Amino acid sequence: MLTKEDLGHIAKIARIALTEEEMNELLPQFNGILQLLERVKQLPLAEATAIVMTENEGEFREDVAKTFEDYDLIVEQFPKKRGRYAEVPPNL
Amino acid sequence: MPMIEETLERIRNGEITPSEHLEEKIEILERRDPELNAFITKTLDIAREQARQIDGVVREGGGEAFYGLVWGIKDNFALKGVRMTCGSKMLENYVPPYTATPVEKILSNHGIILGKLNMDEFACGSSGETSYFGPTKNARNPEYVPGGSSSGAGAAVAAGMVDLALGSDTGGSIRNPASFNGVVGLKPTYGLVSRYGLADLAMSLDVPGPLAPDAYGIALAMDVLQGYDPRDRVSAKRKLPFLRSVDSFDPERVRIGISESLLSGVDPAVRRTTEHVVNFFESKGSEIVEVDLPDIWVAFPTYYLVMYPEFASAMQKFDGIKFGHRVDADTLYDTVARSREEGFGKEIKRRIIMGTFISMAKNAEWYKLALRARTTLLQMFQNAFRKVDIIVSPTVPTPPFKLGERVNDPVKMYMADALTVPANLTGIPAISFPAGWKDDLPIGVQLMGPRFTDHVLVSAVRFFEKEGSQWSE
Repeated sequence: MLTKEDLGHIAKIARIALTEEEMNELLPQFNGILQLLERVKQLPLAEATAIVMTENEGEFREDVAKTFEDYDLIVEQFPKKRGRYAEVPPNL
Repeated sequence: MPMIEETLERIRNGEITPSEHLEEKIEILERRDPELNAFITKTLDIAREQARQIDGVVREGGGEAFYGLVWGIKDNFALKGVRMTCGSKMLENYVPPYTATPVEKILSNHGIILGKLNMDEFACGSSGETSYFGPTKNARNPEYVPGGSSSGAGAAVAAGMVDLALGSDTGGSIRNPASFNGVVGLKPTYGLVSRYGLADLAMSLDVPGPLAPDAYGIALAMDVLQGYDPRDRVSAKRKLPFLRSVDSFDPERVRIGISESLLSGVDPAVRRTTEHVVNFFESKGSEIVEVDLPDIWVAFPTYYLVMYPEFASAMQKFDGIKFGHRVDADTLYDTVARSREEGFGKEIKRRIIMGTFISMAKNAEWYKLALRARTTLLQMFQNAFRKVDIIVSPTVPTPPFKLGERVNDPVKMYMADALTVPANLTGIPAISFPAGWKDDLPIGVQLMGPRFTDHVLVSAVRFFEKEGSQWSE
């Protein structure tokens, strides 16, 4: 079972600020979901964990840089910018 | 809801031009969409310009493959220069600088794009109610949910606002709204359609696919959408004969599988509809085989164990710095955390936090457990497909439910995915088609087959459309 303290810690790692009200609403929901997930442990499962979903396993593109022709369209999407640079607040 | 072949024929023989056809669709859109809320962004000007160009191409004998058929695109696919919101406040004003491969293919094959369709926020939902732009309503009865997450796609096709729609399916997001709105929806084999330009929910599960009024529309769309794309390295280097084989279904050469595990606990009307489909194929000469899927229930929790961490990882790029919603704060951490707090809805936060929890080093066992369960499922289906060619099941355990009925109970909401998630976890194709009605609400039935037998499933639905009849109660 998760505690409110656990939830606060996980939310911090997930970089999501939660209000007290949201915490109170989410906590029982999370514990309900965890109970559901616990059911997987009831089965004798295959030992293998490798899942191959593609026929192109191990294929990679050539590691060659290409110029994106619409650079300005990317810059336009920066929510806050100085000239052609995205503005980032101080780290601390 | 006119059938796709008839519409194509009207355009090809000159009875109607692509521009005239588009105006018919716009008239329906203007009449129905204020109530249904299927569209987030309408691209009427772009569509009219496209239609004018295709008028000329068709006049000169060209226009393949779509001849000006009208498409709606789920709003998690990029179309350069047109807002792409993913149904979220986070991307309320985001304009992508490039176009998704499936969308590019629609455009280059003379499909007209009428707009971007409403959806559950970041495709996280089974009911179409979690969009920042308001819930979509069911096209058959607006008091009911349209299913999700491709909610706008299901409603727009069913209402006749578009001929075809492009959706995406991670745990049932094409099939669920197809079932609830009474249209056909195909979740292709994983990798058959490129995901380039699709905002990812869970990379090992996501697949784009079409919704259409009928199986012919699905075949027509898939002939174009499928194929290898160097920009998506998991895309398959093969093409399946969708249109070529659409009328070649031979029931006497097909073994149909049915499993009590897929029927227990479902709504009685849904069960009767599914049995009606099985009886139909049996009456046409198919061998019906009981298949053993004893532990299929494990797919449901396994899906969430796989999806949550993949989703949390996919969402890390939304930080308010490069694009999307931003709340200014004194530090980088607070800017990111507050941007995400304000930009994401409840279900998104729930999934990111659960995914972060499962991804933590001390919980690594959870993810390993999920991969082992996934392998178990894969083996279970491989064994079943040694005995049968197609497995029949309901698409959703219940008929459509009322708006607001499950919105505060995530586990109950997740139950809607119980029968659709196995196909995503195992990468196999699955199609939902309207097979019955209860109280004037549609009930979909699902056909699943081995990987790369998508075309067989489409031809089976086509056969049912031509030779069968829908259950009604």
